[in-house]
Amino acid sequence: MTGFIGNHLDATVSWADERWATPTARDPWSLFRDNQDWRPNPILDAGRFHLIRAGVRYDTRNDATDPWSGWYITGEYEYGVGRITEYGPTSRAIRDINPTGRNAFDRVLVDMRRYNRISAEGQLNLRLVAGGWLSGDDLPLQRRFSLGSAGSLPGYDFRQIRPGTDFLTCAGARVEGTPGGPRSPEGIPAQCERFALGQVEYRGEIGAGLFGLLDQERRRRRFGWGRSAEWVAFADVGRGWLVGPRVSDLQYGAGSFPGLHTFRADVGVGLRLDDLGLYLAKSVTDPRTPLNFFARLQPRF
Amino acid sequence: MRRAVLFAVLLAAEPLPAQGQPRLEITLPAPAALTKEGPSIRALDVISDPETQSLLQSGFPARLHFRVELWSGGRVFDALRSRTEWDVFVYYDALGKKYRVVRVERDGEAIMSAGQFGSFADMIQEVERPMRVPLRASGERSRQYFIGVLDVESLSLTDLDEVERWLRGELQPAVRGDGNPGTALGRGIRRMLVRLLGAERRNLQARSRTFVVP
Repeated sequence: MTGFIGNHLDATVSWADERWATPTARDPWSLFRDNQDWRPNPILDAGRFHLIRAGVRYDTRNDATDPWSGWYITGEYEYGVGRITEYGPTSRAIRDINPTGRNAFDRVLVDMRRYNRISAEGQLNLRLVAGGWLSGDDLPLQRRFSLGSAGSLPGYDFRQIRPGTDFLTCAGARVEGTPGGPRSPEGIPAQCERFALGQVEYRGEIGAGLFGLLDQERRRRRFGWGRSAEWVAFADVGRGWLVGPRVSDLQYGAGSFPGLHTFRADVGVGLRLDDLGLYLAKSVTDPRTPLNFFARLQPRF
Repeated sequence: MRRAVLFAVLLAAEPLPAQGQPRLEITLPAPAALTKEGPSIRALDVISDPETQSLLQSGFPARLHFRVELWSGGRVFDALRSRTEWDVFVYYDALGKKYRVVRVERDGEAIMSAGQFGSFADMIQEVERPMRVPLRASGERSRQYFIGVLDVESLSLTDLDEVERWLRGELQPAVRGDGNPGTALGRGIRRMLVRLLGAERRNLQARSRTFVVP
């Protein structure tokens, strides 16, 4: 149920009854490396939960698909209560297991974006995203977080576990019952209970006639359609953490925030050709991680 | 083997037929008239292609959504000063064998028929006629510019029904995208089918030169 207040503000309340389980592994066809196995799905919690959500959205962007000015702020509060019938495996000491499976939690998510036009040809955009556990029992695996890859910290691979403290997926010590084994179960589930991410991006127009790349691409594109080509420079900083008694740089008290020196950061550049963006990103806090290339069909945020 | 087949399919694709380049033109008034009258905007070769003609004659109307914004430079960030939007609907009356052009402004408050045309060329001439935009530059001596955005999409038959009912005053302007008389899933399926026929949503942008009011 959604209510609107003016042209820029709306609020939504919802209730859901969900049954959770681990998705079955599949083997879809891929253009490249089709004979290789896909990444295994992590085993998540199985059970049934009732979820109540309350969200608010404030949107003053001049254009929803290609904003050059305005705010886009969303906030969501979620209360969940249910029973976990089968706990998914985690790293050691990540959470407390309730023998009855009963679980009640609440969490909050905030995503704040500001789009700023700094000239006729350029814009500087900012984004802050944060959220996580608020109170109650430990978050089920389905409700935890991780950072890394194209949507958050593109200088890091998806579910990449670096040596030392794992700031991205919150994998702790070795998995229960696996002395000498991996730090995270198969499939590398997201295990962080809270996260914070900051992103900044500059986009500048290059001009519609960039190497003629916009002139003819596919059957359905017409000559001259689309926006001018843009170059992009960006930086991201973020990390995840667990909530509880302080344990090194991985777990913090409910009222604590990790020091900024523990955050992971990356920088990158890219080229946007109408809807297609091509990017390169490199971690600056872990210099030995390789350069990453990625493509997106939508703006980064 | 699969890659070879895919490569062969791409090679066998028909080349795009020659046609005018779609473009959006913004023309500023004379410097002395910048605060008295707005720029003129003109969309050229946006629906003049044979595919769009075929879609129109098959009963898929076209919607041209114009948006023009006035921006001014600030100390750090530029500011959006004002904006205006309007729609131009084009559809083919199969019974009367005429193309109808309707212009909708101010969120549906003003609906004007721009005429009926017996030939495709005459309709194109009307659609491509320059339009004076009711946005005037600010009298402040700041750096300013206009930005024009044009979205062109083909509508489904149900969208056309909504357009006609709206023009008769029976519905709120759901076709602007704000309302939802049908279910979101139904509208999404219809739009997907329209796009499978080659009638996707297309976007053009143009910007005037930067000016300072004398």
